[in-house]
Amino acid sequence: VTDTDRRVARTFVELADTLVVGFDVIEFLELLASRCAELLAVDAAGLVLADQRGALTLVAASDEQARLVELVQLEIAEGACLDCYRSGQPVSCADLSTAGERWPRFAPAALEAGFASVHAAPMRLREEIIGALSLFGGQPGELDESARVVGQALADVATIGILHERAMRRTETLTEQLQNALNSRVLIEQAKGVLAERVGIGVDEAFGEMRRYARAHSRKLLDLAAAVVHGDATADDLVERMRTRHTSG
Amino acid sequence: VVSLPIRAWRAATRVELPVNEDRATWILGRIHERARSERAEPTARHACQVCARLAGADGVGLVLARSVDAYELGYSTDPWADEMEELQVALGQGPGIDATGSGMPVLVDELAAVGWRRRWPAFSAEGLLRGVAAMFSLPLGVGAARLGALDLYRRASGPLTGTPLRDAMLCASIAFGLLVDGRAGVRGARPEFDESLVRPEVHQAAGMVSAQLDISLPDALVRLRAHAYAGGQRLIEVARAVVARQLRFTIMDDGPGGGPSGESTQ
Repeated sequence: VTDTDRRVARTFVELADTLVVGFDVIEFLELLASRCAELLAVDAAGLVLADQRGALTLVAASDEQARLVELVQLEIAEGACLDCYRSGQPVSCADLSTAGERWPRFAPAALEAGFASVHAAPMRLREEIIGALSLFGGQPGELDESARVVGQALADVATIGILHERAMRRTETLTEQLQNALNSRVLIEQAKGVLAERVGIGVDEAFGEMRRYARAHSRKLLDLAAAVVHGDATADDLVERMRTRHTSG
Repeated sequence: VVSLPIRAWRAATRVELPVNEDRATWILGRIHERARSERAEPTARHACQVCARLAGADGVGLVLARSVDAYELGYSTDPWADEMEELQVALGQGPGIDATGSGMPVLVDELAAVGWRRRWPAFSAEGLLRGVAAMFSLPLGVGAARLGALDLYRRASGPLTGTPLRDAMLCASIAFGLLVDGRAGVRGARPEFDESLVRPEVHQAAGMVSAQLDISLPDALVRLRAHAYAGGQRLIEVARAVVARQLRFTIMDDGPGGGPSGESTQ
């Protein structure tokens, strides 16, 4: 058993451990995106899901650069995650500097964000494609066979996470469950806006602060987002701490 | 080392094909058709009528949240559904109230089932008395921005799944856009929410504006939409300007009653 195998096994245990009461689908997907980047020797990872219309939405990213590149793809409707979602097949580009013809707008945007290669794995539910996992590399290069297999397994685990929440809530259909995951993402975006405005910082910074606070206080990110949106005492505490930090720093 | 039950999960899952953009566009077309036949602007009322037809419901109604715990009557396709909506509002209980509160669909295959009767004792008793066998409530809104719920009533029990369920969800999503447009004073424009709701900036901006004006998230969406419409812009453009802090909504305290507010560009 190699060191990589051990890390892969540990990650699956870690992800499986979160599938318990108090499960938070967005936190799960964010964790999964971060672990993808670490395990697969790529620099960043992002997850997009299809909504009830088949339009793709970003639900999780390992870092800000990945988030931006994913959003660019959705905005210009071009790129690896879209090709992967539409075809249901893995999509791989070892060198984005040669992909100008394939992706005239996405390739330059990804290069500008500091990525040289991209790989995408479909999120599948039997015959149905519900989204895609994208992996971005800072250097040109193929994914090796084992990384490909682990990448697809992680994409499958992301699907399981989404279905898991469904089982916990006893909702009945995939349609509802996908909507729920997307709704959770929307709630977090709304909370980012509220917090950014109250503290006077950027929305991305607000997200980082929310995550840090949720971890430090063992709160679910979604619960914290709801608290921020409804402006309860927890939100006031968070805002107070952030204001203090931002005025002293 | 670890065996996650992938196969078991897959086997247990009923597969449904995703709805594509075309279906939403088609449904929107039906709603517009319906409005045109009345020589009226499309509203949530037309969305209810189309929803009843597509999802095979005997009646469809809207229950709207006035504030956190207060509800009001929206619109109903017929007196039967109207009476049920009135009951939900008066009793403060029912699937539509739950769907509004949780943001999750509440699908009641069999209103007579013990679990549901325990959950809404008065509402289920009244509903059964009036011949409601099944009822399905879909939230009107996104994230924490919720205006209420769209309720489908049926005289026959049984589940709502597959295409009829997805059509009903699309109708609810379009109805939400139409309600926001109606409140924003938008006339003669295609509801923009179908494209805009997948954009994170729209939700971030709604959060920011709600904090700027100390208003609810749905009201913040209404303000953003009204601003976009008045300026001939797209909602996403206005949202981006807010997130980039080039546009700020401010409360003007010298205006006539009700706290009107203005926008300032920086």
